[in-house]
Order: sequence, then structure tokens, then C-alpha cells
Amino acid sequence: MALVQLKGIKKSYQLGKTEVVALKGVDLTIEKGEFTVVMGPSGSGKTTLLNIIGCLDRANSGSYKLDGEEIGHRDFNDLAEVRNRKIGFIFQNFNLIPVLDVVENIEFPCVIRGEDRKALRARTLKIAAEVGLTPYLKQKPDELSGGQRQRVAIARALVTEPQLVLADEPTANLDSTTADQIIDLMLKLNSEHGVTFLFSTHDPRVMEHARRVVRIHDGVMEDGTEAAALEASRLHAAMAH
Amino acid sequence: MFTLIGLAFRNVLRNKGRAGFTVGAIAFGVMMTLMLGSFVIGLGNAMIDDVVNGKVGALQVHRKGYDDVRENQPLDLDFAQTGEVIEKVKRVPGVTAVSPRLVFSGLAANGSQSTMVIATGIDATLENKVLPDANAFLTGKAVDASAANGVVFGMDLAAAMALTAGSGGTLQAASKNGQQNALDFELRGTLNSGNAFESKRTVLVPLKWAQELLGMDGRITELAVATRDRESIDEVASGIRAALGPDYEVQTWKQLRPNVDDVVNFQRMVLTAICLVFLVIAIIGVVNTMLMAVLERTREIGTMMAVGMRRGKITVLFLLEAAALALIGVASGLAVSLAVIFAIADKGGVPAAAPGSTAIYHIVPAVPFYLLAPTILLAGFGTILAGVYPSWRAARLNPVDALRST
Repeated sequence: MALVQLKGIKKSYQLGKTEVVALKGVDLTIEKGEFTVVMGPSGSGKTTLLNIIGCLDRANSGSYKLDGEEIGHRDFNDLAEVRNRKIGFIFQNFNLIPVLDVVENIEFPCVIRGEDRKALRARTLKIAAEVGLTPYLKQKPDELSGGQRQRVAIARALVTEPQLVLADEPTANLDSTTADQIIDLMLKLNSEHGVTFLFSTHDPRVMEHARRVVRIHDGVMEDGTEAAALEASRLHAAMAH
Repeated sequence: MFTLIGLAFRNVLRNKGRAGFTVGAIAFGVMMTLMLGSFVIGLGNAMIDDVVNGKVGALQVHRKGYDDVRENQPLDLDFAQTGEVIEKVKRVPGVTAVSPRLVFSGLAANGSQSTMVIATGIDATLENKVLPDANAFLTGKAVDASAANGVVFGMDLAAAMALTAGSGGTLQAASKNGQQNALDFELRGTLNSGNAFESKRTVLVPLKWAQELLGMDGRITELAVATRDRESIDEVASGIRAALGPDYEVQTWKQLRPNVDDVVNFQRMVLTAICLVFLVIAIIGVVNTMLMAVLERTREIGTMMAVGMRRGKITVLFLLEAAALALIGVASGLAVSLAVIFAIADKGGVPAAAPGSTAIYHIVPAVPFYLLAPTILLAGFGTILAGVYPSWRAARLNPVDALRST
């Protein structure tokens, strides 16, 4: 069943006096439970695409259905609600709140929607244990390593029990060992929780594990699952040598 | 688990140096406002106390028309020292004491020189009840029933006539029908009223002695009245007017000494302006701090938006941060300034001269509700108001742009 359905998505924005066309009519369908990678060179439009899918931005035209509901034209607060309820985010720079400890950072999206705190705490501790953060629950972000911070971000993305997790270059700021651990963790969560993951990355290791790779170039989408997965595999092998 | 309020406090404290500077600016504004205000109000109180408790009384009663010719010290607008008038005044609720006076002009002489004076005959016992501070600036002895011809001169008048305590002279005055009379006096003391004209012209004499001099036995021209408190003066004045009817006029100290009221009001106006400047400086500091916070935390705001925080909650968060700054700043400013003010008040205040006066008052700093409440409210709400624009800017950020910021 389709979780994300994009049809004819167009997006342009002003850069000074120049109009930049970022997406030129993108069609994309992502099924529930998929582990999908969006790849493309810088300026290809993949971040804009992820922003639209993540309800952080709105398309100029086209249709966007999330879990069967048209959400492309909702206002800011409605989109905030959608993000809070249905989407989890993992950022390249982790984007944790520095004054909150690990538990508080994980719980943040649920606290702002006024969730019952007792039930939330139990769920938080369970997710923290799954991502290996149990020994660090009272630590502040600046007391954690990069990998630990990204684990906090993953736990925060999952605590709301979203349908879709968007990860924008989640391994870009991590060393290779940590990146592997993070990828394995997300794969595990994908298979155990059935959460749909959508990545934007250049990391061939992520692409290697992707069940589907979609390419974007100059704002136009190409769906090349097998070819891209093979290419990713070859790239990974070349880097290993 | 955190709350939005807890998060606001933590955000305020994350940059302790800047928070300290901002809190310091608010505390400084509150401290300056309260300390300056308490002293200006204390000075005003001292000036009003001097007039009400030391010179004219809370209010005065005269025969109708007296005020129009007050400068001539008319004797024909007199009334009985005892009887219906004074009893009616005493019965008015809020009146605590009444002192009969006989005011007249005369010529004081020391044997070699003479000068015009304005004399007031007083009953020392009753006068002390109406004007308990009348002798605050007295050197020597006061007018007293035990000394039938003992008088007190203004300080400059005594000096000009080379009179000292114990020395004597004569006071000459005309009766109602123009007949001149003179009596010997003995100087008991001198009074530094703080007012140059009064100091050169004022003489206080025993009421009986004045009545004898003027041939006005049992007659007076003025009643000085004390009231329960300063706030009830206008109400008491209305009561006396109603009791005495149209043949008498009642004037409060504000009408008798409008210059004092004007000075006090002017001082408070200047104080208000200065305090507003202090508060505006503090508020500008808050705006600056909050804008810096928004700028520095742009990506964090973007993250909050990404995980579903609504614009309203982001506004509330930043307003709560402004409120936290206000709370800490106002509380610390209040604590320090009230401690200093009460310590000074406890030691009896500080000596100072009122504008245009040579008399030294002890200014006891006071923090009345009408100073305290607006200071807290203005500093508190001003600080929160200062957070409105930065909060609005934070909430209006585009999440995509905010997340992209470094």
C-alpha cells in the first residue's frame, strides 16, 4: 500500500533575481515499510524533494498524498501536526536541543503534543534501549559522541511512532564504523517496526542496503531500483580497495 | 521531564554571561527606579510633613474673605477663640486637634532699630498638637505658657536685629480700630524655617500676649487643624465647610502652600521620566539578548518546527524566556534595592536640604505601593513586551531556511 504518492510536483524559488526550478514535475510512490534512498548530485533537487515529503515545504503545484490524504495545501500548523504525528526526522547534524538530556531530547516531539508522560517515559526507555542509549540517558548532547547523538536523533524520530522517517545524509558526519552501526540500526528498526525510511545520501554503504534507490537529476526523477543498487554495490567495493 | 517553562529557564541560563548582563540591566533599572523614587518620595514627604506638621497644619479655617486680604493680616475678620465655631470643627470626623491663632503685623524694635514683622499668637499646648514638628528647626526654647512674654524669632530676623536668646525688645502693633500699642518681649529661641522670607519676618508669640497687645481678648483670626492622616485632608475639609457654612473658608495645605505641592509634583514627574529612561535601557538590553538568542538558535528553532512544534508554542517559549529574564531581573533588583532602602530608613534616613530651603531635613526613603507596583509591572511587562518582536521573528522563521542555517 502506498504511503507517499507524489504526482507532478513542481517547486521553484527565487534566488536573488533568478528563479531556480528545483523540481520539474516529480512523480514518486513509496510503499509502506520500504527502505528507500534518494540519490543525486548537489543541486539535483533531492533536499527540496525531502523537504516537501517531510511537510517542511510546500510544492507550487502537483499532488502530495501521505497515507492516502492530500496534504499539499495545508497550512503551517496543520503541516506541523502532520510532521509531529506521522513523520520522524534524522538530520545530518543531529539537531538535538543542547539544554535537554538524552531522555528529554527523545521525548521532545511527544511532550510538545501533550502526551501522557508516564506512558511516554516507558516507551522512551524502550526505544533508548533499542538504540543502545540506556547508559547515557541523563547526558547532555555535548557529552555524547557523534554516533551517540545520531542514536538520540533516531530514537527521537521513532518515539512518536511515525509512518515515515526521513533521514537527510544521516551518516555524513560519522566515521565509517559508526556509520555502519547507524545503518544497521536503522535497517533493524525498519524490519522490526515496519517504519518506512527514506534517505537522502551519497553514502554507498547506505545505498548498498537500500531495497530501492531512486535517482533525481535536474529536478526530474528516475526510478532505477536495480541499476542503482548495483551501482552502489560497485562503488562500495571500489572504496573498500 | 521538562516543561515549556523549565525549557525557557534552561535556555536563559545556557549563556550565563549574556543572561547575567541582561538580568543585571533589568535589576539596575528596578534598583535605580526604586532607590531614586524612594528618595524623591521621601524628600517630598519631608517637605509635606514640614508644611503639614511644622508650619500651616493640614488645613486652616478663616472668616470668609480672609484669603483675599491675607497679606494685610486683617484683624477685623476675627472670631471667638472658644464657642460654636471651634466646637463644630472639633466634631468633624477625622479632626484630631485644633489650634487657635491670631495673626497680625507689627513693628519689632530692639532699642536701636526696628523692622516690620508678621506675628502669630499661638496656644503652645494646642499648637504642638496640630504642629508636632513646629520646633524641629528651633534653636533655644519654644513659645510656652510658662513665659508670658517669651517669643521666638525667625533665624535671620533675630540675626538682623542682633537679638539672642534671653535678650529683649518691644513689639508694636495696631488694634482693630487703629490704636497703637506695644509690649516688651523676651526672645526665647530662633527658628530656621528654611524659607528666606519667613526667616526674616516671622515671630511667634503667646496667644494671650498677642490678644493683650491687640486688645482682642478671646478673639482669633485663624484655626489650624490637624487630621487623622494625610489622605483624609480633603474629606475633612469638606466636612468642616459643611459644618461651618458659607461664613467661613477652609483651605488645605495644598491651597495654602501651592508651591510645595508644585515642587513635589514636579519632582515626581522628573522621577517618572528618569525611571522610564532606566526601564527603556533595560528593555533595549532584553530585545538585544532575545534577538541574539533567536539568531543563534535558528537551526534549533527549525528542528523544533520539524518535529511538529507550532508557531504559537515557539512564540510562547520565547516569551517565557523573556518572562524568566524579567522574573530574575525584577526579583534581584527588588531584593537589593529594598534591602538598601530599608537599611537607610532604619537608620533614620539621610540629611538633605529641600530645594530653595536652608533647613536640613532627614529624608527617610519610602516605597509606597504607587511606586512599587508600577515599577514591578513596568519592568516585568516591559521585559516580556520586549520579547514579543524576537518571539514573533522566531515563530515566523521558515523551517527549511532555519534548518539550513549554521
